[in-house]
Amino acid sequence: MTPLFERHDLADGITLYAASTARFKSIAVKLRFIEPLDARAAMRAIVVSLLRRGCVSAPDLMSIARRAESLYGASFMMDVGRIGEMQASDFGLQVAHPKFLDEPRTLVDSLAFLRELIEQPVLEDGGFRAHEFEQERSNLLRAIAAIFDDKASWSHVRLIECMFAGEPYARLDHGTIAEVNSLDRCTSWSEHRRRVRETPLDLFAIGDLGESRSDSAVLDPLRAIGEFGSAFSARASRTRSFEYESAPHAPRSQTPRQIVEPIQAAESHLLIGHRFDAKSLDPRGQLAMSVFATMLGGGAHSLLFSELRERAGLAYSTNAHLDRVKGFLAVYAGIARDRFEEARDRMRDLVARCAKGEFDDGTYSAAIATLRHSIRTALDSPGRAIEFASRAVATGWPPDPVAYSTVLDTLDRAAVIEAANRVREDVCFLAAGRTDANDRGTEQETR
Amino acid sequence: MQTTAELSKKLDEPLIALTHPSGMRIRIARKPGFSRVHAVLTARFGSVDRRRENSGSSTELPAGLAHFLEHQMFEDEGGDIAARFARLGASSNAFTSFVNTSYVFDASDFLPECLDLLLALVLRPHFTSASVAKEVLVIAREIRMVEDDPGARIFQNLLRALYSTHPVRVPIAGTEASIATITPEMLMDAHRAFYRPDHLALAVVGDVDPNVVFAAVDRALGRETATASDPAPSEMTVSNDEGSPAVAEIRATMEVARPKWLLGFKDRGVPAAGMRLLEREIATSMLLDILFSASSTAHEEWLRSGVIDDTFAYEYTAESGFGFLAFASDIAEAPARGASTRLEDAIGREIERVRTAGVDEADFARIQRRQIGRFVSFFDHLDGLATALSQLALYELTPLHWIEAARSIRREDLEARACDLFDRRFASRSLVLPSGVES
Repeated sequence: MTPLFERHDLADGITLYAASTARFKSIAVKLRFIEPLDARAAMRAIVVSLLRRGCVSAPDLMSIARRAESLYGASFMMDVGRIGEMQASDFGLQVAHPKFLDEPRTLVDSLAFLRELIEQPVLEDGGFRAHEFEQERSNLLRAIAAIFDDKASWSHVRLIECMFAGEPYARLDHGTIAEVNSLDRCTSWSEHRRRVRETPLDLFAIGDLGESRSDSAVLDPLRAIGEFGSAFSARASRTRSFEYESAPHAPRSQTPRQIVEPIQAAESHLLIGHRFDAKSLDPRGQLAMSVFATMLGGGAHSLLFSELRERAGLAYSTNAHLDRVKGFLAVYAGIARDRFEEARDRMRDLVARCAKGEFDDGTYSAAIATLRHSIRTALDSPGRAIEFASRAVATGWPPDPVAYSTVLDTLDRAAVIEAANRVREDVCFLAAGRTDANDRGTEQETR
Repeated sequence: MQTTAELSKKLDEPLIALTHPSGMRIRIARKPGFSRVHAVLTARFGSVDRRRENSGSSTELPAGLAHFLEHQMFEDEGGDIAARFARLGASSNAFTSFVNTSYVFDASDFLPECLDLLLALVLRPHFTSASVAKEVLVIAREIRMVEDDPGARIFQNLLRALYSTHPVRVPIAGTEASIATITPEMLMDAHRAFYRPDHLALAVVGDVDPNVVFAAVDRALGRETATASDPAPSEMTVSNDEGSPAVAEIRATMEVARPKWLLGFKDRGVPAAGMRLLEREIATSMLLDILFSASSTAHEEWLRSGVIDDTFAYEYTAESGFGFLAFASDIAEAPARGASTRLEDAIGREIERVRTAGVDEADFARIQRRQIGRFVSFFDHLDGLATALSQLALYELTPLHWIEAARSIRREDLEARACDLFDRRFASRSLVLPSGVES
């Protein structure tokens, strides 16, 4: 039987979504703060990195890793990510269920440790430790620079920078180089403290949480998270301090812009970015947009795959990327530079044909079936279930696959054609590889 | 500490293991209540299988043949098989490794139809000149994409440096020149030799009725047993390349932000298969975790003193008769040609330390405990479980053997590994430097 996430309002601004199921061998937990993707994005990113570096009872990475190993390989995950123009700071835990182990306190101890990692980092002179802070600043700067190493990912980032210049969406998940350079350890700590006390917190848990919810030895530690932030002084009220505003959805100019940037690589990367008005979409419109994106580039049945790869032999890798929250759809193909125009025209033609309803039933029904499978199986692994529920909650959907299935059942071809007619091409971006694809750079051997 | 049998009982993960009369191995892990079914069909044919001997004659196979075959198997008279999976709401995929090729689907409905499709995909080849010519173009794009990836390039160069003759030194996808020589006849011949039912293992994980799986295999293969008139099993011969590395160092330049460094050690005397191979893999991984993971003293010291940053990683690979260890990191600046880095020197000192002082008992116990916890959680990952069941089945093993191996390993085994693995005479270095840096 499919587990269901039940909502528990634990305290002011702290909500627990818990799904109890005996089907898993482990328990997964995630704490999530949602904030605007603004100039403090870099600060949140460095805070997450610093919290991984030590807490009062485990002051360095080695002690943290040893504690995790002693807790039967418990995994502690901390990261930042984006949902539209929002930044999510996630603190996760996955641990084998105590009933399979010799040590019944594994979960309780793991949860307490996760909380300590977030609330009690090792401090120095009113801020994070200077040495660790500078190391993590360097790591962030290197991570930003290293985006360039993967030319396909870099092309995607460049498309977004070109399309959304001046909008929060253009900001990298880890902030900009200038923002990272301007960070200081004391402000970062005080900002983290403020966030932990004041920002609404969503807590997700899945696994065998016990038969009796009221006195469960497993669920009670989760309820204790309701005291989250109590390590800090006077608790403020947790209210969302921002209203999510969708940035302009229309392309900047009437005619799509074409941007070509050279890269030293054999393969060229072609992306065509489209915008649409995300706020105007009701749940049915949102899923119709997902069906459209899946038809275009959702796998081996997709139009991009069958037309560009299988029919024309133009590409090895093709896909479509959809952000339903922002209103952004990009289609991608890795191509040879000398076939750029042909690939671009074919990709444009595929979008135009969908808008005219010129797609076969097989393509449509495969996309519907793919999404249905994805919804049905959303709760079939602890990690995936947590990801599904946390994304649903952040985007205003109930954390229940049935809600999606019900809407999906109402869709028809007309809804998908309507979705295809809502998108407007904004930027065609080509990361243009070398003209001489056989030029592999220099290579030298030492015997 | 509870015994393996006690843990197995508590886990309550019933596993059905049998061999079909045709020789195909079948493994089913039932997962009541799950919506998802994940199936993996693995053929014992990978990129290192470059020669086959049959009835006294020896044929050399072009590099990239196993991977090319994997691509081509998705086509039949009716077109693209992946599209048919998609119409059933299932996703399908395939991947080729050094020693295997696996075909997978992930479904939540139409299980009999999906199983029929998977078995047809693997058992009924259909190659035409046109489809082969088109695939050459697609795989050429894939090869170039991989060559553009600094991580893949530095790794391929390391294997090219470590090995002189072993086929592992050639990329899994082959080269543009080698795939251009592949013909439909060659593919058909390779399929006949390497995709025989007794070279295949099917694993299905999910809320499945085992009879549905057995019926599908019967439909695909009938009930006949392999007969003496069947061609003799092909012998997949790989070279025994355990001598000195081909070269000490390879440096490439690419458009990257920082220099990238890899240090590899060639393992020798790696078992061909079975429990001994599994034990070697687990013992080596445990040793590496004790010495170099985030929980090690060395890692903490190196992080603190700036010898490493968050790009430091290591991985040990052991397959049929060959194995290697690779350390990886981005580095601040390129060392002089042939010179070692600070990190390399630090690794050397740590190896010397463990050879002299041995493995700490508390470290060993902690890492063993982690292995058990990870093993329990592994059963929550249907795709990983199905892949492991299928690939291990080819050697008559199951994931339960992992835990058995992890528990049977002693501290002395790790110390013995420390003495024989890290031999500088069998080490090579691979670097990728930013364009413009003197290589």
